[in-house]
Amino acid sequence: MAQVELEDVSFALGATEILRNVSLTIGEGECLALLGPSGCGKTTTLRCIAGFVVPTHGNVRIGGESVVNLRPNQRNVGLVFQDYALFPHMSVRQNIAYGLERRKVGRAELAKRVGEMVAITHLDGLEDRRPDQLSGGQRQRVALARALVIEPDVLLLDEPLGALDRLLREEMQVELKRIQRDLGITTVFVTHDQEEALSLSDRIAVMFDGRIVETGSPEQLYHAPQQRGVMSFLGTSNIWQATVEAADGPYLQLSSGDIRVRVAAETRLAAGATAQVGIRPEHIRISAEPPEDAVNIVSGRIETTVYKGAHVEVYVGTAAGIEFLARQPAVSTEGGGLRSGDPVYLSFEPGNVLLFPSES
Amino acid sequence: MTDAGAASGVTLPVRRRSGGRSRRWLLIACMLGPLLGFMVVFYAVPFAYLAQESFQSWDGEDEPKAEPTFDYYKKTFQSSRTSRALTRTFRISLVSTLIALVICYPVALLLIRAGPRLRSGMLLVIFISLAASLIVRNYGWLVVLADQGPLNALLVGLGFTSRGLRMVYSEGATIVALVHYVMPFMILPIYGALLRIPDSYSEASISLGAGPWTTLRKVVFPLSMPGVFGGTILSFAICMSAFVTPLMLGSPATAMMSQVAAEQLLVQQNFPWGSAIVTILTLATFAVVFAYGWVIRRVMKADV
Repeated sequence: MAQVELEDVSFALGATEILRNVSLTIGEGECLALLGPSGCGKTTTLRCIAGFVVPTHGNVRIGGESVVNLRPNQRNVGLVFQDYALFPHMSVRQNIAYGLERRKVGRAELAKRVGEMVAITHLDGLEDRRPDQLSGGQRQRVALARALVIEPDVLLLDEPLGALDRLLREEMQVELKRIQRDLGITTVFVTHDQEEALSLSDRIAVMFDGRIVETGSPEQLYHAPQQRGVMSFLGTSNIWQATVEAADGPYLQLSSGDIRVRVAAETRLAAGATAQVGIRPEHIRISAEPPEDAVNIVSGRIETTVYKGAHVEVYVGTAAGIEFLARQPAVSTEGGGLRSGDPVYLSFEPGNVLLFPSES
Repeated sequence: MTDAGAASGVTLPVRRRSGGRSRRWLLIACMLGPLLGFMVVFYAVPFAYLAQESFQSWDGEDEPKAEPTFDYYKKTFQSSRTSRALTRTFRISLVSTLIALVICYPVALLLIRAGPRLRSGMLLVIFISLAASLIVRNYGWLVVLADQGPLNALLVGLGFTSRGLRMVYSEGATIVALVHYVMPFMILPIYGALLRIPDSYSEASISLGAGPWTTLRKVVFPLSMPGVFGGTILSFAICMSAFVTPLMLGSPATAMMSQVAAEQLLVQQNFPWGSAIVTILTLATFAVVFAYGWVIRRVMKADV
């Protein structure tokens, strides 16, 4: 267990810059998610820590020691591959013992540690099976056990749940979190699945185009992202462009066509400036009559509703041409009384509206 | 096969209508037919004639005796010329195959690691050597290994010997040329097997603390066994039946089985003995191939 630091790491393949000045510190015992679309450099970042990619510039430290000059087999790193990369010609036990054998661990000690890891990852009774005799979830657990048994300084997971189906994925999320907490191991995992990042990590680093654009706790990034791109990548959102009109008491008023929004923003923008305004679908209330107490009210017509079981997604068109997505708890009546073509009023709190002045 | 057919018949009734069992067999027959036809007409039937011939006796007259006999099989093992040719054939084939494996495995590894241009260049060289006539290549070796040839000039120049060494017309020269001949048949199956091993396996091994050598020994080599098996079997069988190469680069004292058989069949006109020699050579090769496959599968537990 150790702290991992990336300091101004860049990596280029020919003229293609894959990582641009990535700086990141992962605290001891912390679980960090590298989240981003495919091709954003998140896997390359992970491979930099593992040692399979040598940065063209910058430094990587594990436990305070620079490791850029160490080969992958000289770093004490546990790596779980997306395809698990279990050795198909070895049994579960041999797979798990592989790293210990390379470390010349004595026979008794080896058996003890493999046994412990088998217990932690719930692989009891499967020790003599070959990887092709295991289910997807079991293979994932073997890969995890193989990486963890060497007591690595840091655990690296590349799309750990990507190859599993939905139900198993949720089960393994809980399992992975439990093991990570129990062992208190510093963990970095790469994912393009925002749900996985939100539920599994202590902290998320969002990457776009080779750069880390924002880091923060899942709550921070979901509720108060600093960047428009982060808001649209994490979860669903309504984002539109508006022009600043005037400060209005504690609020800042912006307009876009006939849609007026008051935002509880600390940033003071000059009148006439353009900004992006965002609101999460679950923060929008829908009503048939204009609510009296609401600060922000937008009128429109329901275009379509999508039933999702626990909730209904309502798409509302407005005269300004902006389409809103609102998420309502599903009620037992058919369609929840919401029908396409119905005129409705959308209302939301100024505190829930996010303002992104930087991107214009 | 039948289980799968029955199961798919139950779950996919549409499939039964569009392609029944008879149509499937027809399809298999169409795919295998030409190969089987060739094998029967040009291999199985002639070999059967040959095998039958080998039980005849021959006394220099045209009329063979009626009684089938094992005389020529006994004679093959008793005659020092043929029995030594048999052990020599095994020895040359085994040594050539092993040398080829040792030389070709790194080449196949390099093919995997090479960039696209180096890789196509290497594959081109491998295929060109297949395209050149065997006679031409053997003649090339005759020139290179000749008493006054370039290799001797080099050895003398470097001071290893004062006079040129006699290298041609020997078992060694035959082995060198055979190794050269079987290289493509060794490289390509191993290359194919290595291609099917995902990079992540090696990386997993390295990330667990193994060096490149341990990774090769513990992970890459065992997983490439299907290719090693295919390559060594092909090479061994080719060497066992070699005729032109030992004829050109060896001497009568280093004759291999095919040469001894040809001597009886073409020169001495002793068809039963020649047939017996060919039959023994063929059965011995098959025996080695099957035994090898069994060992690989059972003892080494490799899936080939």
